[in-house]
Amino acid sequence: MSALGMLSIVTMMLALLLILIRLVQGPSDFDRLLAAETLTLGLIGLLMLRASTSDDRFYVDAALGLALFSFVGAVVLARYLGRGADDE
Amino acid sequence: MSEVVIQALEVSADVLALAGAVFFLISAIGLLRLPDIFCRIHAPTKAATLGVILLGLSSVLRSLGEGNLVWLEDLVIILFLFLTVPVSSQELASAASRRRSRQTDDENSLENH
Repeated sequence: MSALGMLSIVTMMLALLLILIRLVQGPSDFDRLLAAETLTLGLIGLLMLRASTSDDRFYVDAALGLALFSFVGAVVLARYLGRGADDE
Repeated sequence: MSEVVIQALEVSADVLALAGAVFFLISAIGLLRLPDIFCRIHAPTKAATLGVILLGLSSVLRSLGEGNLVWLEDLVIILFLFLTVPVSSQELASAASRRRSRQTDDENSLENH
């Protein structure tokens, strides 16, 4: 792997660490949900990077599955958290 | 493909990957430092999506250079993220604003009584 590829993987992992801090301390439920969603986004990017810089091509399938399912989970959780007495 | 083209694809894939990672890092810093939830939604929906799309494009270029078909799947991921990230963050923002308006309504009714 080239030095630039290594540097971008390290940068992505640093970003995921910062998002993890927000996930742990985030004051409201919405902050945690947003951090989890961004964490999934970062994982998708990291998996695509890993698939292209190494010989293991199947990592990109994991990224595709993560992209498909995280959307459903995020929308359903946001609806659940935002439900009110007026729309039941 | 000639050797020069493959070399150029490799170098541009490396540069795109680094740019995407830097954009993602900026959005993570924004998520950590912005003051409230409505500001924080703004950071990952734009900068992080751009970062991940750049990472996917670098993967596309690299697999084109190596001559395999992984780039098709990368393009599908990019298209899907481009369609779904705005929808889910819009859903999150409307849920957060609905809860906030409900809380301020409660406070107003407490003050009136």
